[in-house]
Amino acid sequence: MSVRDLPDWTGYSEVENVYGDVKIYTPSGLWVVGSDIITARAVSGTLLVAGGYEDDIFATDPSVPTRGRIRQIGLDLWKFKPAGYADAFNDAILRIYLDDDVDAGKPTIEMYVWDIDLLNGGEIVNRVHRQLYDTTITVDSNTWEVYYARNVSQRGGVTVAYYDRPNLIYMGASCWISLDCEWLEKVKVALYNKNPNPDLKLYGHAVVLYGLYP
Amino acid sequence: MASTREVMAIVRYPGRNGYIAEIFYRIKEENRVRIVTERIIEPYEANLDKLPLDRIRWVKENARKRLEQKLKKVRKGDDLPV
Repeated sequence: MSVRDLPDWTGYSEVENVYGDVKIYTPSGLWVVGSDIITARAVSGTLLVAGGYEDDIFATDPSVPTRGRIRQIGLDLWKFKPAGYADAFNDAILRIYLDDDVDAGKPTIEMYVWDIDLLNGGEIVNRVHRQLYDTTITVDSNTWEVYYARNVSQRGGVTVAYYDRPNLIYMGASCWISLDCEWLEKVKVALYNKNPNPDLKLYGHAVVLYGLYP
Repeated sequence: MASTREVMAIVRYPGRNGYIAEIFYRIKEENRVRIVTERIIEPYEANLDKLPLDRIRWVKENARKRLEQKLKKVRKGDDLPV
């Protein structure tokens, strides 16, 4: 049966070729979208963010409007020297700019690594407060506490963290988050270093799992 | 068979070895649609992980600017893949 043979229940039977989404309003009240996204991914190279700055992880070209969804972001922040770095929990902010916010330079979503740990019930932060570390590691005569998450939420969490107790600073953190946020025209994902001192950096790598609507 | 080709999306991100642009083309043939992806990698001048920290941002920014020059052609439709 072709599209033309369908009885006109909706008044939209003139539509023959649809390249966008087809939304169907079901009796349950839920909208069903008739197409799914093409999964793609973006692997970021080395991130290096000075205090007060942000570094791009992933962006669409604003001159070509496109629609898609961010599925998941993985982030690994670490340091190979004991000094000169910002706090991987409390200075590192994942910023997502959607649509008009890209041009406005105003993040739509901001998530500290600390927030991502909260998705997992704040397990790492709680254990750091009580010094319930799993092991220690020594780098250039500095000993850091190492925390591995015992449980990780299905939506994200911090999986590993390194804590420098004498200096009260998180030296590294590995985390991931499932966002499932949509953009209708453009998007940008960046890492922001909130530390006011430009000499204190964040260093690491990130991956964005995203999809485009066909 | 009549077909049209349009740029569906261009995404950019700093990869491990270079700044990367992925161009998604939507190709329409009669009532069929398919998607073709092209990837452009603009290499960094040096391995980022071996660079001093204060040079990494500079090298990435330079590669991104060179990539932007190549993308200008794509936006104009001069450089479509077959």
